[in-house]
Amino acid sequence: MAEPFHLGQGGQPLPGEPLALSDILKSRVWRYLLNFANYNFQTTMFQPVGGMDMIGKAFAREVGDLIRYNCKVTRIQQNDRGVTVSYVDTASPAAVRQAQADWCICTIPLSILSQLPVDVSAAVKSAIDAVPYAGSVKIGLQFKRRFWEEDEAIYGGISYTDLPIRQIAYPNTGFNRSGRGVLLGAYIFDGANAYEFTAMTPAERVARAIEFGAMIHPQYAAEYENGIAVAWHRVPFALGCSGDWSEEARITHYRNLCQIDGRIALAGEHASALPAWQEGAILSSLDAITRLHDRVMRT
Amino acid sequence: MQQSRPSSRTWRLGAAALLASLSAAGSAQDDRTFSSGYRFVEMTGEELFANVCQGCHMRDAGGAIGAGSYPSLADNRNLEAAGYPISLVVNGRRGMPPFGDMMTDGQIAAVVNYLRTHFGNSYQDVVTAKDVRDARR
Repeated sequence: MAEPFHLGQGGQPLPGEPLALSDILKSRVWRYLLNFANYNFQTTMFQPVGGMDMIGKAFAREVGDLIRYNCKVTRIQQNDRGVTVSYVDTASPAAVRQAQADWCICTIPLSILSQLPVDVSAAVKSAIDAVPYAGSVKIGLQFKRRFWEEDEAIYGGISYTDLPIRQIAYPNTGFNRSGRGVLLGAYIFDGANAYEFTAMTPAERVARAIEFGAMIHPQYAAEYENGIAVAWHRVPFALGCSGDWSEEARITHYRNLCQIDGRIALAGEHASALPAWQEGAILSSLDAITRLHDRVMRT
Repeated sequence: MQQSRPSSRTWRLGAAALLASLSAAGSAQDDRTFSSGYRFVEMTGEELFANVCQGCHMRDAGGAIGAGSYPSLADNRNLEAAGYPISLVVNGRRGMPPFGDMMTDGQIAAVVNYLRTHFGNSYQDVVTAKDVRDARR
């Protein structure tokens, strides 16, 4: 890799060697540029301070006393008076408990909901069963120093690659801080590599991410400290990253999935036009709540 | 997230010296095939199982239980009629993704044959690529 910049006598900038046109074309750069030309959401993104899960933690701060943790729903029943949800506490799974309410907004991923007995119409049940769940893998790598900044003048952003790791994403905050730094060492979805990395042990996922990433940043070998890998098909409460709607399934089932069925409404990224995004989940919740409010006020 | 299907290429990586130096990250692995696009390049049933199916159904094909479950494929009577596993791999079912666009007829036949003759299954009738082609909608 070339030096990021050169200074001549007296500090004047000197031009480096430009990439050859054929190298740019061969890199399939146009495919990667498409990432910034999506039309269905704002592609300029911001990150919550502390990471994306700060949004979930902020919800927990506001409504945490309403959340029952470590509960596994086993059945959802409804009649014309209300909804009964059966569940077990994973610490004492022998005792089936029940929660009752006038209405139920269910946000259980369809990968799991499709396996539960749920009192809904045939059309909604068909919709729940119509959505496969996509694989995705992220791998975090901790290094002794922020070599991408110190050695290569990379400040935030993403290196796209056709290696199986697909991306290396650099922290967009804490620039020029001395000491440790953490990279997103792989972000894999849509295609064979997501399954291949899911099928590995967590330790092998990290080892492979280092092996491939070192082809781009040889500093990996000397600077690596620690790593963690998440494969969404192995997350017990999700069994997949997101609802992977086909065009045909959306035409046939999406409206049915989103209707209020008796006293049950579904919400989540799977019930949105932006699968896999927190924005989709939040838009879906607002939509479900708005329609349920209208329904309740009319009856 | 758009699907892209560039031509297939295989990354075959040996146990690099780098891996050996990273004992904290796990021991060096055997050769592993990596696909370069949307479709799988693994060809044998054994390798397809290890690089794809195992992600959910686990290394021993025993399945897993979380908030929902992944069914065990071991000693599984549902594999007796070969058309059933062929249909599941081609079309998926509920949360299980369809692999019809990610594997050829031959790959699907290979992985179904592997499953039906391993993990306590011993069905002797062999599935052919034509069986898979006929099962595609």
